[in-house]
Amino acid sequence: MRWRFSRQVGAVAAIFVVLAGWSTTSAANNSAKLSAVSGASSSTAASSTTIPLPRRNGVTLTVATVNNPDMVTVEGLTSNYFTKETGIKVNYVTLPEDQLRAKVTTDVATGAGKFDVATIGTYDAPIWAKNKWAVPFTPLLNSMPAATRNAYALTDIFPSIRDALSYKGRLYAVPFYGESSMLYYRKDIFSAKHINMPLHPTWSQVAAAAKKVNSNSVHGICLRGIPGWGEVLAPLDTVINTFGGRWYDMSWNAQLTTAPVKAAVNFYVNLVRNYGEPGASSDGFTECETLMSTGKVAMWVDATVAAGFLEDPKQSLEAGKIGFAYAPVQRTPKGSHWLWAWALGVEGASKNKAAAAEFITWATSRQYINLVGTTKGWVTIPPGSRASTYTNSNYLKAAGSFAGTVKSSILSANQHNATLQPVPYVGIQYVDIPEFEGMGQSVSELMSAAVAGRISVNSALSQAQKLAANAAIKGGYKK
Amino acid sequence: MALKQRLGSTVATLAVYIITILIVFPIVWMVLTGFKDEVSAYQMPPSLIFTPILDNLNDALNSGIMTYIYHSIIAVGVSTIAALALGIPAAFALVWHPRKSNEGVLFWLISTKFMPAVGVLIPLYVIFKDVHLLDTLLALIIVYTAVNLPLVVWIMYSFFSDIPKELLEAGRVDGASDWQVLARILLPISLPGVAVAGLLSVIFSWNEFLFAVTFTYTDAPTVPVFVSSYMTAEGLFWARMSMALSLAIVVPVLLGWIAQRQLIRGLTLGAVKG
Amino acid sequence: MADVTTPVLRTEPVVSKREAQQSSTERRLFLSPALILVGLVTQIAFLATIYISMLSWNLVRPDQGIHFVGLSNYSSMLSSSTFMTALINTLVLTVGVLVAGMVIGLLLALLLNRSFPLRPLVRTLLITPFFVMPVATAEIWRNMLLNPVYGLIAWLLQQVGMTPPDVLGSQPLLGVGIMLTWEWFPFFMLILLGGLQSLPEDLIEAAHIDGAGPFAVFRHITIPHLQRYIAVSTLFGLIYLLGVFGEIFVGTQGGPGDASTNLPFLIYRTAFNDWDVGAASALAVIAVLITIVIATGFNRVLLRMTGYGEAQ
Repeated sequence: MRWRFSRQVGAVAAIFVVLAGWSTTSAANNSAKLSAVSGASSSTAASSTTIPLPRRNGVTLTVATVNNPDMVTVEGLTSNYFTKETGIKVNYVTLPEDQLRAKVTTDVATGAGKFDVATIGTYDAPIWAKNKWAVPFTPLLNSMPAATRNAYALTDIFPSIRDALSYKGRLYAVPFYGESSMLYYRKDIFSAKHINMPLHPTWSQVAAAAKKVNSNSVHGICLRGIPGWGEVLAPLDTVINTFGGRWYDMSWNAQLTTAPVKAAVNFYVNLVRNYGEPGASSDGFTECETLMSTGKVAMWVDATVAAGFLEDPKQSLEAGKIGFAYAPVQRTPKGSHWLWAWALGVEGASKNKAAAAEFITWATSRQYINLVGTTKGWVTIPPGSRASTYTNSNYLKAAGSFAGTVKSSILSANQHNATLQPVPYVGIQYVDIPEFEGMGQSVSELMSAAVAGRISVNSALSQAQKLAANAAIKGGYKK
Repeated sequence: MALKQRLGSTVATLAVYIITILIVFPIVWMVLTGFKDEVSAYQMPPSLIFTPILDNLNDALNSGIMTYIYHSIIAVGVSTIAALALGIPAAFALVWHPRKSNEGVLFWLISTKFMPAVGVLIPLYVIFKDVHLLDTLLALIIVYTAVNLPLVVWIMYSFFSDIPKELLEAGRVDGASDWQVLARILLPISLPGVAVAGLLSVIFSWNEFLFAVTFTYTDAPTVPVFVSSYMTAEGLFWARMSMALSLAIVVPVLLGWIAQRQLIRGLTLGAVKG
Repeated sequence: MADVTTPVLRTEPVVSKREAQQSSTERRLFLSPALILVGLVTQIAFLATIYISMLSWNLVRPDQGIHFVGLSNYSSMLSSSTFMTALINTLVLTVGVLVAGMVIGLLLALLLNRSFPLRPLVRTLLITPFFVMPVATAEIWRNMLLNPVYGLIAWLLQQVGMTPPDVLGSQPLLGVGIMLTWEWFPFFMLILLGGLQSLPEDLIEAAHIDGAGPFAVFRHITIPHLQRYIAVSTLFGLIYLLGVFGEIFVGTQGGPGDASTNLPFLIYRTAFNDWDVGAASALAVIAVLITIVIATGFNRVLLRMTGYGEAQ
C-alpha cells in the first residue's frame, strides 16, 4: 500500500517529504499521512475536493509554470485529481522565473503559440493583455455551467490581486497564489536584548534594532542584493516608495536622482552594508530564506510566502522563534509593501481555450486549496489568493500567527496609489511597462554594485537616472 | 643525490595526491549532499559520514529524469554519430584530395564556432518554428551535428595528416577505392582520434543548455533543462539540486573516465600514437 | 617525429598529383555533405542575424512594429559603456583562464609524467571537472564553496580567525575565472601530458650526459617541444572560453553591476531582458568579427610557434 501511495501521488509527495526535511527515519509521519489519503476511496476523494468540470477526452494541454514549491505541488496533483476527472491531459514545462519569462515571451511574441496556459505575474498580465497574448478569463468562466461558476466564486479572490491582473477593466489571469511583503524577526534574540518590535515598525526602528542585534554569529538583517528587477529592486522599491520617492513624474521625467530616492537607496545600502548579511550582492529570496531559517540573521524583510516556511519545524531550524510584523514604513505607508501574484492565463494562440480555462479553474479554486490542505498539510497550501483561505479554521490553526498580517498586507497593497506623489505608471515594486524588464534589470545591477560597495550610491543613481530616462523616450511615453 | 631525488619524488607524489583530493572534493561533496536532507546540507563543517537518505533520488526519479536522460541520449547519440559519419569522410577528402582551398575550408569550419550561441537563438527559433521542428529531437540533432562537425573534421584531419605517406601511397598503388582506403587503412590507426572527436562531441552536446531550453517544450527537453527546472527561487533546494546535478553528470563523467586513455592520445591530435 | 601542426595551417599535399577531375568529384562527394549541413545551419542563422541586426525589433512591443534602421543598432551598441566593459571582461576572462589553466595544467602534467602508485586513478580523477556541466560548476562554486556565510571556504577561513571574503561580490571576474579554470585545466593538462609523453627519452638522456640540469632540460628541451601543444590547446580553449555563458548566467548574473558581464551574457541580456532583438543581433555579429580578428592574429602567432613558417 505504501508503494501504491508513492506511485499514485507521485513526485510531489516525495518532493514535499524532502522539502519538509524528513528523513526515512520519520516513517511514522509518512504512514499517518498515507492513511489519511487512502482512507477514502479515490473517486469520492476526488469529487469532494474538485470543482465540477465536464469531460473532454483526448485533449492535451501544455502549461508553462515557474518552479516554486506551490507549482510543483499542482504538477503532482494534476493526474489524479484533474486528468482523472476530466480526461484532459496536462504537460508541464517548469523553469525558474527568468528563464520561464524568456521562454513564454519568445513563444507568444514570435507566434509559435505552443503553450495553452502560461504562468504570468502581476507585472506581465497587463502587458500580455495589451499585446493580445492572453485572452480575457471572465468570458471563458461565464461559458461554464452555473454549478462550476458558483463553486469557483470569482469574487472570493482578493480584489487587489484581481485588479493587478486586469487591463482596461478586464481580468486576464487568475492567481494561483498571492503575496505582499512583511518583516520577520527572531523573537528570542529581540527579547534577550530587550528590544521591542512593534507590529507596524518604521525603517528607522528596524535600522536601530539591526545595529543592536548585529553580531559576528548573527547578522542584523537580511536584504536582497542580487541583480534582477524581481530581486533587489522589489524590496528596494518599497523603501523608495515609503521614503516618498518615485521612478517618474507625471510627464515621464525620471526621478531617480531626487532627494527622497537618494535618501532611500542610501538608507538601504548602508543598512545592509553595516548590519546586513555579508555577500548581500549575491543574495535573493532563497539565500535570505536559508540564512533566516538557519539562524544566521535576526531580521528579514521579504515576501509573505516565506512565513509558512519559517514556521514549519520540518524546514526551518528557527520555527516557533519567528516574530511577524508589517513591512516597515517611513514617510508614507503608500507602497511600503509590495503586491505580487503568480497567475494562470489562457494564451491567445491556444487551440484548446475551453479546456485551458477549465484547468485554470480547477487549479485556482477553493476546492484545490482544500485538496492541498487535506493531502499535504494546511501550512503548504498556496496562500494569499482568496478570502476564504483566511476564514478557513484549518488554515488558521496552522498559520494563525501570521495569516492576519499577510491578509491585510495584500488587501492594502494598491498598485494604483503606491507613491507619495502622483505617477503615470502602475505598480508598487515595478513600473508596469514592457521596457522595465530590461531597464529594471540594468538598474538592479547598479544597485547590486552599490550593495557590494563597488560604486557609490550617487554614481549608481545617476547612471540609473539615465537608463530610466532613455527607457521613457524609447518606449514612446515621454513626449 | 639518489636519496635527495627519492625524497623529491615522494614529495611530488604527495603533492599530486593532495591536489587531486582538493580538485575532486567539490564533486564528491556534491554527490554526498544529494543523499542528505536540506537542513544538514547547509551544515558546517560538512559531514562526510552520515546516514544517507534516498528521498532526493526518489524525488528526481519521480520527476521524470529518466525521460530527460532518454531525450539526451537520443539527441546526443544521434548527433554524435551523424557528426562522425559526415566529418570523417570530409576530413579524409581534405587529406586524400588536397587543394589550395584546404586552409580556407578548415578556417571557415572553425569560424562557424565563433558565433556565440545566444546570438542565433531567436533566428533559429523562428526558423524551426516555420519548419515545424520546435519541440522535436530532430531540431536538437540538427543543431548539435552542425555545431560539432567542425570539431570532428578538425581532429580527424590532424590524425589523417599524420599518417605516414608511404602507407597512403600503398593504398593508392593498390587501386583501392576511396572508401576502401578510408575504411581499411586510415580508420583503424585513427581510432583514438575517432574516440576523442566523439567524446568531445558527446560532452559538449550533453552539457548544452541554451538551444535545449529554447527549442524544446514537453517532447524533447534534455538533461540540462531538467537541472534548470529544478532551480527554484523559493525554498531550500541544495540537497535536491545536488542529487539532480549528480545524476546529470553521470553519463559524461563515466564516458570520460572510460575513454580517458584515448583522450590523451586523441587530444594531442595524433601526435603521440605509436 | 610526428607532426602536430594544426590543420588550419597544413596545406601541402600529402600525395602527388593525380587525375584531377576524378579526384575533384570524389573530394566533393566526401566533403560536401559536411559542408552543406554546417553551412545550412550556421550560415542561414548567421545571415538571418545580420539581417535582424539592421532592424528595430522589440519583441514585447508589437505595437511599435519592425523597422529597417540600417546600422544604428551597431552604432548604439558600440558606443555604450556596457559593451566596452563586456568586451574587456571577455578578453580578461579568456586570457586569464587560458594562462591560469595552462600553468596549472603544465604543473600537473609534469607531476603526472612520472611513475608513482595510483597514477591512472589520479589522472582519471583530475580530468573529471572537464566533464561537469557549466550549470553544475556554477552551482557548486557559488553555493557550496564561495558563499561568504555558509560556504566551505568561509568556514575554513573562520576557523583560522579570518574574515571570509565575498569573492563573487568584490571580485566577480576572479570568481568566475576560478570556476572556469577548475573546469578547463584538465583539458590543458591532458594535451600537455600527451606532449610530454611524446618527448623522446633519448633526447633528455643525451642532455643529461651533456651535464644539463633538470631546469636546463625543462627550458631548452621540454618547453620548445611543448610549444605546439600549447598552441593547439590555446586555440581550442580560446574558441570555447570566448563563448562562456552558463557559468556567468548561474554564477553571477553578470553582476554586481556589469563587473562580470561578458559578450555572450550581454547578448542574452539584450535579447531576453530588453527584448531588443535587433541590438542583440548586432552584438552577435560584432562578437563574430572580434573573434575572427583574434583568431586570425592568433594564427600568425601559431605559425611561428609551431615552426611551420620556417619550414616554408
